[in-house]
Amino acid sequence: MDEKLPENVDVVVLGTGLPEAILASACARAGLSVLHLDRNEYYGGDWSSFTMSMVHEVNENKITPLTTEQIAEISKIHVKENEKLIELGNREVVENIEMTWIPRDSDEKSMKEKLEEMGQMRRFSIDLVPKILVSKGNMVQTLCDSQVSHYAEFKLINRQLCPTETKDSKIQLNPVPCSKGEIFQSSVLSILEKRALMKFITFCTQWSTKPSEEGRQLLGEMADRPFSEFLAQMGVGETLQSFIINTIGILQPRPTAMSGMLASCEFMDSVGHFGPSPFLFPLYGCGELSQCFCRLAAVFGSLYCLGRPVQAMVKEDDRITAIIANNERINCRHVIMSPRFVPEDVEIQKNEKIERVVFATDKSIKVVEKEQLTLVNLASLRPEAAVSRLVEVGFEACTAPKGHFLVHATGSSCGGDEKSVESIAERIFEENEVVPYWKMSFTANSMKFDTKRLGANIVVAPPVDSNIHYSNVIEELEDVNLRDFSVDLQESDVDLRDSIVDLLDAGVDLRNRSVDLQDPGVNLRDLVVDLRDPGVDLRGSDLDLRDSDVDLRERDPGVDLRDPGVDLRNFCVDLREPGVDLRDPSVDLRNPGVDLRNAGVDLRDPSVDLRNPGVDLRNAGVDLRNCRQIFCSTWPDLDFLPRAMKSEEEEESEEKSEEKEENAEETAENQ
Amino acid sequence: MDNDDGFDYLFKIVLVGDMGVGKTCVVQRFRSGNFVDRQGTTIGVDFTMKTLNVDGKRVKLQIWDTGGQERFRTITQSYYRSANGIVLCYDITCKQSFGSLQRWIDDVSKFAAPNVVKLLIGTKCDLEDQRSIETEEAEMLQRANGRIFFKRKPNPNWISGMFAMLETSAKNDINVDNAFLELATLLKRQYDQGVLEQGATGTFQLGSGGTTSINSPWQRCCQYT
Repeated sequence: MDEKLPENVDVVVLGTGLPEAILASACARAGLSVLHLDRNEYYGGDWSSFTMSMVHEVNENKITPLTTEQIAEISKIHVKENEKLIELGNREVVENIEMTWIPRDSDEKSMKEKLEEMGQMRRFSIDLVPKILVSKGNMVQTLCDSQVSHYAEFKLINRQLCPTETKDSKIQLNPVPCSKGEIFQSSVLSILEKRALMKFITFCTQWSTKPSEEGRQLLGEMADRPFSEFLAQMGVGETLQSFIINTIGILQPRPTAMSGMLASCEFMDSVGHFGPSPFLFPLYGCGELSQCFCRLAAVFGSLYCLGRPVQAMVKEDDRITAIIANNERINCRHVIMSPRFVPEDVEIQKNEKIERVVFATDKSIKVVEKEQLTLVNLASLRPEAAVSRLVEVGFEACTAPKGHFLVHATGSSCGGDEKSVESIAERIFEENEVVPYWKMSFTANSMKFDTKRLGANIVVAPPVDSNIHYSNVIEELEDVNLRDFSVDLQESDVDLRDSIVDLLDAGVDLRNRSVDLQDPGVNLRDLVVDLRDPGVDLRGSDLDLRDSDVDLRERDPGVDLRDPGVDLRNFCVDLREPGVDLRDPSVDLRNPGVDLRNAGVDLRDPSVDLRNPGVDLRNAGVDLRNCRQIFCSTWPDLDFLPRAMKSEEEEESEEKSEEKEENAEETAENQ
Repeated sequence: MDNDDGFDYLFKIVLVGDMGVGKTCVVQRFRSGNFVDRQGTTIGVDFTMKTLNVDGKRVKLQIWDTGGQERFRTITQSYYRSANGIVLCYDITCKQSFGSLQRWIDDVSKFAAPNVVKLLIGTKCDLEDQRSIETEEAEMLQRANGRIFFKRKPNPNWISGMFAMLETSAKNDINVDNAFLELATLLKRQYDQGVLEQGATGTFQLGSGGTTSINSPWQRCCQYT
């Protein structure tokens, strides 16, 4: 437990929330060395799920600001002359937390005691950020591409309820039909409405095949008008309008014709992908997802350490050079942090406040024979607010003991207590004779910062948001500008999108690439050594180069040679103008810092050569032979070169042809 | 050869134990029959599969490695989810790794399913001259934690807890296959006798080709033939 943290890593990730976990896994998968730290003893940070017995931990703030003495001491030990210490923040992403057990007349013994006695407290999984996955959405895609899908199981959200207020001002919860079959069986819609709905669905299906610009043109002037107006124009009656808007409104609150159509198409496209419902819920709660990405990162070498006081950053010029955690200095080249860690003096650009209430109940808000995972869009009851919804998940989602449910209310704030999501949820409970026995309420802050001045190599992960889906999180992660990272990854246009989307197969390439480039000094410096004293090296170069062969293979077996771009490419760069470089070696080689250490510059530039490594490699022999002409007559036997460069396939095919011959001989003998 | 398509039962086994006790070596020996004296922590190993023949049926074991997360004791809870069997490992030459077992047992009881089957193995038993944990000590621990017979119907013979202790050597190939075979045999027999606890139904994993339908963590082990 007291083991020391590594002194140097490529990336330090602060916070184990979902966005940080995805970034950590992408970096680890790309071959960067990653240290992932969290101040909490648990995974998931502000995206975590808690058992009933652990949920109090969300309220425990273990971080106190550093005292002047502490700052002085850390500075004395860890901060060099030209560096500056920056204390990390502890932003209140989750605040105003209140938790209560509600006594009920019907309980002889308090529910808390009952659950504790039966050992059921740990069966709860209380999400801070309950979300759903859209079957054809980018989160599902990311999970599949990264193979994190191996670690998680899902269930369909099998019931979407649409609330309408009846004449005696009661809230009626109507099931939304998703599939064709459900639409025809639905008792909520009249035959005419069903027909109109099918017509609308057909229109959507056709519309979705059009490119987005054409789609917009098709909507004409209506494109930016409210979706309801557009539906009216389509001949959709008012009841059905509110029905459609309610259903897709969960994806796109307050839709315009354009965004409404996009959401409708996304909704319909996702129906039937994994089942009749377009939405999925992760078993054991949403906090599971960040853990799964952390596991992937760990499998690829990321080091995990929870419950460490992460105190400060060390900055030199505009770059962070190290992180101070537990009074240890960890040098790093990049920092990824959750909004929680943003230093207190950085201004908040935007903050969306999300009201959250979680109820524990022992009866569903709408009881049916088989337990359901339920989604309720409350927008029609709270038209002023952008977000209002309920998610009810219980034993079937592995988030509560058998017969129990968690009801998550999420809403953006809009004035007036009687209109809060909490009060609407309580109204629904009352009307349906549900009596919650536990309640937790808090405010989640979705904070955005201007982090440009914070440091050139800092990425602040996207904050928790009020959307029900993960699409925006993934989109923001795709847009995360890892230009710094990408320099290392050789191509400035390799952004995270590639590494997320292509984690499956690109991982290998990226990993290899970064291994070489991560530490470009080594390879290039080795070359310098060889060339600096060319007489000696070349005379004995047989040995030297073979040795370097061995070294490189050990460093990353097969990579350099099989994906020889890097080393040999570098060779090419140097040797392409061998006359200049080598005849006047003092310029390039004795000052290798300039050319070689800024390998980024060299490599970025000769894009032609690098992107067509085949050409270079085939010419590599030629280049080297040219060297030989230029240099001396003592150039050794170059036999090793073609051998090293012979592709595996060739060797295999040779083996195969040998096998064939043998087989032929055998058959001949048999005959 | 391991054949991916054919199996009658599938069980998820997870390994836990302190860093350096040789979990990966044990798995490696079991899977491929050789011993690699590895240095450093495990990177890039997610899980390995091997199919055993038990009572004439093919039992496929999916064996999960910690991914190095044991170093700072930061194993994710999700690692334990839906595990059918747990192999707790300690190093017979390392007192500390034995001392840590209680914490691993606590973690397992906190995060794994209550009916999970546990096997205790001591590793590196080829290093007899460096032994610091006597066999009897480990057996006592196993007995203290093991063999809880469920008396209640309908599965009177259900065993939970730590059912056996074995000393193994991945280097000299002692008891490694045996350990997994015993675990597989027990899991299969338990499964044949019926499932103790019904979990959620209708769960599935995501796959690029659509759903991989799993009706329950336990039904995954159902017979395909």
